Amino acid sequence: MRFVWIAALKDLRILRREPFSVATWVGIPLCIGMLIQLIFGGGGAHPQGVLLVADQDRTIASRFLTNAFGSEELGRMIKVETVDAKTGRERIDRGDGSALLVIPSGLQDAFLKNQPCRLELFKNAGQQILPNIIEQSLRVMVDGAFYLQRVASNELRSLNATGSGTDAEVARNAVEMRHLSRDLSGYFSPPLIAVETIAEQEPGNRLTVGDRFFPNLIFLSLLLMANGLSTEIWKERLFGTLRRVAVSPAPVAAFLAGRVLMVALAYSMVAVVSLVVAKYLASVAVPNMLIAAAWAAVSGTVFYLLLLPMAVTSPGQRFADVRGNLLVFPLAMLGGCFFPFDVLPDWMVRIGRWTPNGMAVIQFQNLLRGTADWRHGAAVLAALLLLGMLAFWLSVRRLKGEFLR
Amino acid sequence: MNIRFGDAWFLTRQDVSHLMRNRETLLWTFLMPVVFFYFLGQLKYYDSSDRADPLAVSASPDAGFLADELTSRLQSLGYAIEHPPPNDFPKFSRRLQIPAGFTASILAGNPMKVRFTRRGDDSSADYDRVRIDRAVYTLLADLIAIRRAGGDVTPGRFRELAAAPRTLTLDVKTAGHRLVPPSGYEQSVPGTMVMFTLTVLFTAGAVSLTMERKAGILRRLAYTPISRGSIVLGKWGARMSLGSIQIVAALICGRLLFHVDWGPNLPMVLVLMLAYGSLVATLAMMMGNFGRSIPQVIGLGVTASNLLAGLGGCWWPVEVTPLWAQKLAIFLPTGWTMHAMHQLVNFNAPPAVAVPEIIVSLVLALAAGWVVARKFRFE
Repeated sequence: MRFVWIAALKDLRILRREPFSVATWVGIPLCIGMLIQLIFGGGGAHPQGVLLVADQDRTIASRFLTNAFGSEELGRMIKVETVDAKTGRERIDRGDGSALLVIPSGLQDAFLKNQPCRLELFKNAGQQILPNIIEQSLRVMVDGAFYLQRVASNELRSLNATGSGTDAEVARNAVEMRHLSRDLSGYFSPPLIAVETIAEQEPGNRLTVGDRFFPNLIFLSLLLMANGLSTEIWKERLFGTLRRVAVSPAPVAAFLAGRVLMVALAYSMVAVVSLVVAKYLASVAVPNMLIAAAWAAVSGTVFYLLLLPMAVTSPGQRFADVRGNLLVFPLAMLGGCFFPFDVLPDWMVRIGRWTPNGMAVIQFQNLLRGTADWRHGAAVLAALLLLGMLAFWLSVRRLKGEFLR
Repeated sequence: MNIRFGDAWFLTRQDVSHLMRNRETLLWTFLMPVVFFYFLGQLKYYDSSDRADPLAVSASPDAGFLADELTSRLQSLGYAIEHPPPNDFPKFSRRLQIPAGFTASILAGNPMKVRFTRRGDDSSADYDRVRIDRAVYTLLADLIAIRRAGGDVTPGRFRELAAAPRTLTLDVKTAGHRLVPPSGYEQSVPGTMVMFTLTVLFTAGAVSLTMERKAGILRRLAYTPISRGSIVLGKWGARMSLGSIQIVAALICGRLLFHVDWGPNLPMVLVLMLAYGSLVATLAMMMGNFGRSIPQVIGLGVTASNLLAGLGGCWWPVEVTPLWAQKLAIFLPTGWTMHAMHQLVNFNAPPAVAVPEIIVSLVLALAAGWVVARKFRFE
């Protein structure tokens, strides 16, 4: 056991002399996580764009049309910018803006007289979401105009003629309007048909972007670190350490166990640092720091063990690096370490859930969201440990034999 | 500064041949971009909005014809309506529950509430809210219009109203030359190509210079009759060549494997990417020149390339980011390159539109190159 400690201490000292390697493995995913948090803030990813409006009518009706985009919901996504039609067309043709709305002159007049009038909307084909939202919002307004014509055509016509009407006509119009408003209030207060929208999340609290991305990115750093650490074994061979161990009374398994211990300690530190960053800088919910960090450390150590047989069966460190990258990146993609499972296609999720990192990251997410099923977690842990032990045994066999030659 | 192009060319050839023998460089230059093209193109994030979105509807048998009216409106708003059995209903990420007695209650003047449940709060959630609201509001408005016109409320009256001529209309057209928004690979390949040029040059390109300095190769070069200017140009040429090879490979691969339409201005896209590559190659030289150790250069290179890629709009459609991020992107090499490429590829803009971005990239490359040449460290 003493030898295991000595070996672990030696490896920790080596690791301490290369802080940039550890900083890179951990720093990249955390950097990406912070970037995502910075850009998308604490909420979901809401699109933001510009609606160019060429208002050639400049009346109450045309202003009413564009004011709809100043509501709290739409105003959060769409900023309205007034332009002349020519400039607007040039801008939207080169993709500057989400859409251009051209309101022709005579809109209000046509609306009050129930005469044809055509609004033009030019959508930016380079965008997927905002132009459609703008179109649907405008269609609501256009529908509204149609319904207003249906239910209050007389009132609208008289409103148009009010300027030239007698006092009696004005008074009659006002009364008609009052009656209309009273009739409609029966439909709108409260609304006869209402929509209750529920944004359903995984059980637990509302998930922020940080909640969705950080657990995955922490596991991406664990994988990258496992790849980097596993190929370091070649340095031991290069410097002759392994040969010296082989001729000493200490078993090679103890030497490797020391290395695994160092890896576990390094992972524990990385896990704590990552979780602290996630919790305090990205507001990720971490209900139980200790258990989450322990899970990440155990998972990382198993990833290291799983990559080790591949490193020791490679013809050299560079070859091992290439092989490791070839395995780690597709695994990270499939296993939900680059992007959360909910944005992956279904076939990828079906495979990814059964990869070692996929199984581990799901449990990690459950721990952070407070939805962990302990029995299932224990089964995953047992499977991971079993795989790790098998990989350890294979690596020791290789280290004792072919690898030394 | 004394530069002999023959010497520089000799160094470039030697360096390129050395870099291309390195397995890691080959992996990250040719294989990994393809893996990322494929993976990112598969994400739902980049999915096209043309396809109807599945919406599970649960309505009791006595919900009545207003429930049918509502679902047919939702169908016309781009939803694929499904009526799954109760056990499968919760599996759908978009679900609409119409309460029992829906039609009867509304016709009797009793308010009713439909429940729309949506799993997740991604960027298309807002579009869902707008569509659902529109379907419900128009149903209510139709009802009011029918009631005020007098007579019974029947499905036939709704059909009549739908067929009624509308004086105010909205004519929707697509701006520019493109008809459908880019999605899937057309969205992922250009961004990934820009990102990988950065990643490869900032890592392999930068660290190889540091390694040469550590190994004493640069010191030995300093003793040769090759001038400082020729050495710097030769080293830059090697990195530029590596970047160019990768760019050309990505353009070909994007077209052949992923059917990306690079538009009618492919030569200008190539010139734009080469100008960007020249700037990135110079910045990589800077990084390799000023970096103290190999891990430091790798760490800095990978972090910088990821940050520039993320902020420059290589990872996600730029419209989903806040306006400040969209504005910031314009001031980053990745951002202005993506912007010009977007113009050329998605809007079929004339080649001249990318000239400002190309000039900025080349001027900055020259300025950074001048700094590297002045401060080039042989040891």
